[in-house]
Formats: sequence, C-alpha cells, structure tokens
Amino acid sequence: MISEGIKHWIRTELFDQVPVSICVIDRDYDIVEANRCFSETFGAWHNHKCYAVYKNLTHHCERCAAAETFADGETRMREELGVSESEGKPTHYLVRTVPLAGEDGAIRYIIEMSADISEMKRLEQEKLTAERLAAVGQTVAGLAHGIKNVIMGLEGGMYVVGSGIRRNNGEKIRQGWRVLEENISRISAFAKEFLDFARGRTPQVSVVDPNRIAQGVIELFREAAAQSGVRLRADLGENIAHAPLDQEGIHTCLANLISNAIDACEMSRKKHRCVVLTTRERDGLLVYEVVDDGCGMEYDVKQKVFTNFFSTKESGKGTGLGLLTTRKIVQEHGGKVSFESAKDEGSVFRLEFPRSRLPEFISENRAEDNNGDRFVHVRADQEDNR
Amino acid sequence: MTAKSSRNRKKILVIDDETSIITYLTAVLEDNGYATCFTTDPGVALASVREQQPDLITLDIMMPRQSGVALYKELRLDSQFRHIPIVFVSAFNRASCVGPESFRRLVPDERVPVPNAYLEKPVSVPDFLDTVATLLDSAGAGDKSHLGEAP
Repeated sequence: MISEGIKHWIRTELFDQVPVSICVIDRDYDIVEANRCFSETFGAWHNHKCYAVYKNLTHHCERCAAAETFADGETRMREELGVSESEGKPTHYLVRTVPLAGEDGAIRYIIEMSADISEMKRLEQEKLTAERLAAVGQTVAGLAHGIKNVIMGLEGGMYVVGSGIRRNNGEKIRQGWRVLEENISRISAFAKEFLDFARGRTPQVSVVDPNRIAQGVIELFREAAAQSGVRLRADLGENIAHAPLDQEGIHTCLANLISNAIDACEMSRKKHRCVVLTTRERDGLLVYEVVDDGCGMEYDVKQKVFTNFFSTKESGKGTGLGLLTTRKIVQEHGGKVSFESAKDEGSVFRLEFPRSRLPEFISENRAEDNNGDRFVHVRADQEDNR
Repeated sequence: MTAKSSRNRKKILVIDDETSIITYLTAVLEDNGYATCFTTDPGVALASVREQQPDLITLDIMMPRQSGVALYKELRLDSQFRHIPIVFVSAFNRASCVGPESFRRLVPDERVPVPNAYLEKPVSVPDFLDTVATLLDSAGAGDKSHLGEAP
C-alpha cells in the first residue's frame, strides 16, 4: 500500500517533478496552468496562447492536435517541432493531448504533455545515415563484382580472337568477336542502369490506398505469370487506411518482388507453383509480402541478395539491381525489407512501413501556405531527398 | 553438356553459366593441349561429371539454380568424385567465399575440405594454366601427359 504521505507527494509535487513539459489550455488556447519543466523549457506562459509559447506563432497551428481533441474528445499523440526557450533552437517533441471534461461532460480544458525527443530523432538520423553509407559500400562492392565479370569476358574475347589470328582460324576469330560484342553490350547496360539507380528519382508522395497499388501490380503481371505456368493471386487486408506513399516507387518495389518470385517459380521443377501478394496492417505497421513456392535460395545466395549486379538469373535476364532499388525506395519511406528463404521450398519478401516513419504528405497549397513558416512539419530525413 | 575435344589428353570440365567465360577458358585450355568439356547448367553438372569423368573441374560460384559452393560440397561428399581436383573461378573475393572462416559458415560439414584452389576473375592466363597444371600434377603424381600436342 502506498502511504498517505507518498500519495500526497504525488498529488502535490509530481506535477513539478516529471521531466515532461505539461500545460493545461482552455478553449481559447490560453495556457491556464503549467508545470516546472514547461516553464524551464518554454519560459513565461502566463496570459500567453499555447501556439505563441510553443512556436512563436500569432495564429494556432495548422494541424492543431488540441483543436482536434476539443472537437472529438479523443486523446492524440503527435510529433511536433517547437522552439525551446533555453536552447533557442528547433526541438522535436512528442505531444499528447488529453481532454479534461467538466461535470456536465463538456470539454473545457486540454492537458498537453510534451516530451523532448530531439536526441532520439538525432540518433534516428544517424542510423539512417549509417544505413545509407553501408548501402553505398555494398553498391561499390557489387559494381566491382559486375565489372570483374565483364573484364574477364572482354579478356576472353581478345584471347580467342588472338588465338584465331595466330592459327588463321576464321571461325575462332568470329567466336571471339561475338564474345567481345556481348561483353561490350553488357558493360554499356550496366553503366546505364547504374546511373539510373544512382540518380534515382524524386519521390512523389501522395495519400493513396496501399491495396490499390498492390492490385495494379497484380494486374500487370497476371498474363506473364499465366504464361510461365505460375498462379498469381492477391490476398489484400481489409480496413487498411490510405497512407502517404510514393505510388510509383512502391509499384516499382512490388513489381521487382513479383517478377523475382515468378522467376524463382520458373527455376523450380515443381508442378504447381504459386505467387501471393498480401497486404496487412497491425499496430501502425503497414506490410506488403510476396510469397512464392519457387526454388528458394541457398545460404551463400542469401548473403548477397542486396548486392547490386548480383544475380543468379540466367545471362541476360537480370542485372541484379532490382532488390537494391527496392531497398532504396523502401528506406526512403522509413521502412525496411526483409526476407526468409529455404532452398527448394520458396521465399518470402516483406516490406514493412511503420506509419510513424512514413514521409509526410504536404499538398502544394499547404506547402505554399507554409512557405514563410519555419515550422513546416517535415521529417529531417525527407529534407535530404529534396 | 558438350565435349570439345578428346583422346588421351587430360580432360577439364568447365562449369560456368556465362558462355563467354566458357569460350575463354576452353580456348585457353585447348590451346595448351587439354581436352575440354563444359556445362552452363549446374543442375546437370553432376551428370556431366559422371559421364565425362574429367581429370579436373573449374567451377564458378554464382550460377542460377545451384551455387558452385553447393556443387563443390556434393562432389566432395561423393566417393566417386572426391578425388577430382577442383579450381574455383569466380568474381567474388576469395576470403568472402572460400576463405577458411567464410567457407565453414557456408559449409559447416567438416567432411568437406576447404577449397585449396581459387582464382579470382578476371584470371591471368599464366596463373590459370599454372594452377591447373599444379593440381593435375598433385593428383597424378607428376604425370605430365596432359601437356599433349596443341590442336
């Protein structure tokens, strides 16, 4: 049992002891009460509007969580960018708005609790940078691998042509020449695809139905799958809300995965082969999954899956950039790619997007509205992609 | 699977999914007096080995359907083929694939020996021929009969 003394302390002191900024605002957005942490972080608040104290604004915020909570009585959690009085620099906050209803049930006040998550955001940014650098390293290694193969092909062509000349063997000269032509074409294609990959394209984020993208990809591959003797079907989750995604980018990712899955089925000697694209959402995590019962992968292949120019497909069928491109696009959405695979059993490739990390969609109108406002709510890692 | 020449010369089986590499290696080997045969499909490689009974195998690592490492394991665990010298010819860095540590991660089975011959693409012709000759010498106790007449 907690003693009365401790209960008293919790009632009277805890408010001022917690390392979270807490304030109470009324329907006019006036701050009527605040704790010590709030005062230390944001400075004077008596007779001030919350938006003035948080963000130096003269009007309430565009997507005001408090206004929404006043309107529907729902508790909300939202990331906001504000200005700390003590630090004087933009600070990331996780803000929770909780309605306070009077005896008549009407919501007269809202408690706003703001935790400074700037350090967490900084670490997240560092992690993203580290992931990008690792991807660059793998890219360079993959490029070297692809080039080594082509150099060997070119040296081979030269050798065979030389051998044909030495022996006055026309057929051998022609054979060597074909090898040279083939490898020059390959290096040209590599260079073009590598440049396309390196340049990338600016993600165009819009709020879209995640299932609709999946349906589009299924339609695109339906005929190709049928021709390959592969059954292709979609198993789309219900009640998946619209999400801010780069529609074309996600389409590219799913197309890469489905195409790979069909190829894996073609390489399998099984009689009935199937590829399933599923979508689902649980606890704020949006998931696309491509499952095939094709040839699967061995351990050494799995180790190299995200290396570009790494391909186990037959010559001329894959350059090895598909999965790397997929990972790049998924990372731009704050998501991750994972897979499981067993030799001769099949593979599962999974794209996971935490909704909290998805890029924020800002319409052209809103972007213009906010042009002079330094508090436009854009994630730091999105800024890199501008 | 195709045999390119034969008759009393040492026979080398070249396994690689790229036809340009097959063309190159078989040309080098034939110019230096070896008989050659090849396959671009690792799925039929075991059948090729059984049919052709090569004296030595050159093996790529990354191929469709089956990797060279998996094929190496099968060959080393089969008493019929265990004695055939194998040289890996791959674009991968040796340490990352068949170095002692990385190889044991790929193939934990201790009965499969760590490969002792590995050439990284692009290979130099003298290195390739030296490696082939050394492996054949070791296997054949100094037998130089593979250095037969060039075609």
